[in-house]
Amino acid sequence: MKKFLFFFLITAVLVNAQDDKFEKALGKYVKMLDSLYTISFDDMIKAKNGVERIAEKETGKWQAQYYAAFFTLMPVFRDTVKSNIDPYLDMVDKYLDKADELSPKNSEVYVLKAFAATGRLMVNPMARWEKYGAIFSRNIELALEYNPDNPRAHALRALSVLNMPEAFGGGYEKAKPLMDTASEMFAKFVPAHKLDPDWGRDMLEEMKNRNKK
Amino acid sequence: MSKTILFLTILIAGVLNGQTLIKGTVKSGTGEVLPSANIFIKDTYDGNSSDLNGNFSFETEEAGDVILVAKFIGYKAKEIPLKLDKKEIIVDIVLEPEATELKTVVISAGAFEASDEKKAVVMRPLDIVTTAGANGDIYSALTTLPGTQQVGEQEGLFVRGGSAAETKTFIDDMLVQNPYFSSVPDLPSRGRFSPFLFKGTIFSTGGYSAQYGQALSSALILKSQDLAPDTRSSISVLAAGVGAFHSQRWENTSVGVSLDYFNLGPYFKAFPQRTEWDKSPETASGTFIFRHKTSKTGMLKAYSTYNASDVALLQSNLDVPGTKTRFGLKNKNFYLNSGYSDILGDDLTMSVGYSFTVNNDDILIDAVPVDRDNDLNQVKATFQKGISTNLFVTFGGEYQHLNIKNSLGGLSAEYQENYSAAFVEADFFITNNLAARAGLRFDNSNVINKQSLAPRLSLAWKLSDLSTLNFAYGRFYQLPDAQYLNFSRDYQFENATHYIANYQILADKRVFRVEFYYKQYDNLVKKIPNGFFYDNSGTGYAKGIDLFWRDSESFKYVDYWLSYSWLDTKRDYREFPTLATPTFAAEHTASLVYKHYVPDLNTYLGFTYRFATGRPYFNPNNPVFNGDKTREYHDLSFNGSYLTNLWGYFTIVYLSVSNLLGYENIFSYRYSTDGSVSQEVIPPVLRSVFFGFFVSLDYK
Repeated sequence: MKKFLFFFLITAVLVNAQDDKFEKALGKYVKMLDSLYTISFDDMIKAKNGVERIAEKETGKWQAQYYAAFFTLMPVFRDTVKSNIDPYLDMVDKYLDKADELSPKNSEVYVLKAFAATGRLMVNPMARWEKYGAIFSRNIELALEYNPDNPRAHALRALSVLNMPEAFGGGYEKAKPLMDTASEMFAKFVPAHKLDPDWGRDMLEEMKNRNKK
Repeated sequence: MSKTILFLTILIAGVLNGQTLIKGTVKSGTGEVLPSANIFIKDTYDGNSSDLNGNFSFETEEAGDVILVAKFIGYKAKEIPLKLDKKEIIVDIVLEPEATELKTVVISAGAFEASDEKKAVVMRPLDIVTTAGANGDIYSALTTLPGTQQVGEQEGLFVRGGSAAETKTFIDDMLVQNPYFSSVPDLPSRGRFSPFLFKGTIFSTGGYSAQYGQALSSALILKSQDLAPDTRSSISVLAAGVGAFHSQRWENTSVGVSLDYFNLGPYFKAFPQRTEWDKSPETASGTFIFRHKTSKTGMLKAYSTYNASDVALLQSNLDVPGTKTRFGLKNKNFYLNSGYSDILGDDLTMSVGYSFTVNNDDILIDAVPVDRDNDLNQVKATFQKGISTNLFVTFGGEYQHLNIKNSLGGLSAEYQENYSAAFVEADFFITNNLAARAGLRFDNSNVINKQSLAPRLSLAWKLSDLSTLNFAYGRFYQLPDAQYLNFSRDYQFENATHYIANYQILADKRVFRVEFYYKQYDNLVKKIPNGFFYDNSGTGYAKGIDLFWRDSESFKYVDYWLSYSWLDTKRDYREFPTLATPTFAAEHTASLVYKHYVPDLNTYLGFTYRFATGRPYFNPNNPVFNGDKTREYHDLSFNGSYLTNLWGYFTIVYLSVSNLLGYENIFSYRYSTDGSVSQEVIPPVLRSVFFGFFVSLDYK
């Protein structure tokens, strides 16, 4: 009985250690989220590779898949990969589908799906706006349905209005109330788990400051 | 207790069990170094990225047999088994590019493709909608591509010396029996289907796949949209009508409904017509679209539309000068196209479809009633099986049951056709740069009780990243036209043999293509001299060169394309007394499509210029058959779309003008029976103007 208890303890410790290793490894990259705009492209790809290694091992953890998608998506918004966007986004979609499978109806996953649609759109806005504009809206709608208080969903919706020319019903003034809502949501947002997504505050600040330029 | 210590010691020893250094380089098959590739040991966190010189190194505590993985975006991941025993390991890794569409060889002889999903295509579906002079009609937009004719007096695509009847339209692989609205004499009608319904279009001007049959010259292959992207409504108000559309989207299902009504009466009052309308065209239609995703891979589609129209016009009766003939047409058309597709596993995909059409034309020529009725039931199944990475096979079959009934006054003629076909086709990738598609199609017509076997072959040879050389050969069979089958069934299939060679440079934003072709027609229906009957003794040929250039890169916000076709064609068929060029064939045809976006004005401007040399027409006074030619054809059309918002809703304001220069085009001449009186066949109005607006009501 004692032996059994001891064995049980060891197993528990090992499993915990495994989880701990996962949290530590991924945690390192999660901390980088808000600085991704400022680091060099090379470092960005290295970070992507690091998260990818974790995601390839941890195929049962939605956060691993989520961050692999996030880190693969970010380089798309750098000029360096303009001609190569679709293969990146094919990878992003693969990770997001996996995350969606592991954690169905997760608002954060749908926010990232919407974000990825803006990447597709960038490749050829004239040819793609109709299709990917709709995919963007639909995923934001679903993200808000699954969690009406998700600040990132509100921020992305505000961003889409902010980037739309005034003539089509967009612009700063139209986006302002949406940005305010996003701010409120950020103020009361506390991630449920330390690995859960908690990015977007800097992005919102940058958006709010656009009228000052 | 000592046992426990031992156990712990082993455990710790295992953890501290030294490290192995793994290093090497990552390169592509062509020898370029790949920086920032991801190299790691499968199922561990251990790994690193390659540096700017493609070098990498990392240490791992793993031991024994492991798998080293190397990944680089755009390349196939590589797995290399390694045995780790604390000694340094050097691995040089070579990655092969992923077979993306841009890099693999694509068979393209004869075909123009417009797609949103594929990267390497000549056009996008939206390009069709925004072509000036087309007014949103798919067929009209396609006549800006080489290989087509500018025929203004009737609808249809006249491809490479072929008549309009030699081009067939397929929606989701199913034949469309009545692709155009029913038309009145000397006036072309539009296609029935909105370009917004389709996510992809392949317009083949020859040498097309064995999946499609009963078309001697050309196949227009339309792929319908999947789930509606979101819930939205729109209304459109045009100079001559109104329309409303609503789509509702659920997780895996969408439903779309549209209603349209056109009445050209008020418009004709404002813009006087040269055609004498007794009843100006009036049309009402309703469309229902259903989509359901049955699983991750399964898709169920249904599209149905009903349309009713009424029109009448007066034409001079050239045989009795001073009198007019009234031609009235009431049309009713119902069309249903449904299909289901899914992946059955093991690289096997299936699509099955059912379609149904019923079309009634009630015509009144003065007091003489003429009825043209047809209905078609069709089923088709297509399977695609990947045999290996270099070979896949497509096979399937179809069955059509067609009823045709025509009557004139008290006389009537009808027939039934039970048509069946089977096809098999293999796509080989012989090397990375050489692909072949070989197919065979079997047709069986019950009405003429004949069978045919049609071989098809295409080759594509990729010369460089962007350029390809293509060849195609194929036999094509088609049932003689309904008008001949009404009175006799003793026919063969008409047939054509295509030989095509093309050279194409396809870059992201520029396309150049030149295509040479020769087409031999045999067994065409021909009137037996000095008799009433017809047989299959007709022959003919067509040969020519098609050129195409498109560029959306050189000038900012500008996209333009240029088409030129040279055609030499003659046939001896139907009532022809000799080998002659048919009335629908001009020797030289060219068009320039220019589109310009002006961001400051939120406006798209488009111009299309079309040109064709004169076409032959029949003058009974000329001893040479079809020996006269019309004057040249010129048309410069304009369209402008201003994007704005009305009450906060996205709105497009639209204006189009055809024949800006006011050039008098003459399409042909009509003669009285004795040849003493003639009349020009001209467009119903010298310069047409259309305007309207479209409001999208998005639910947010």
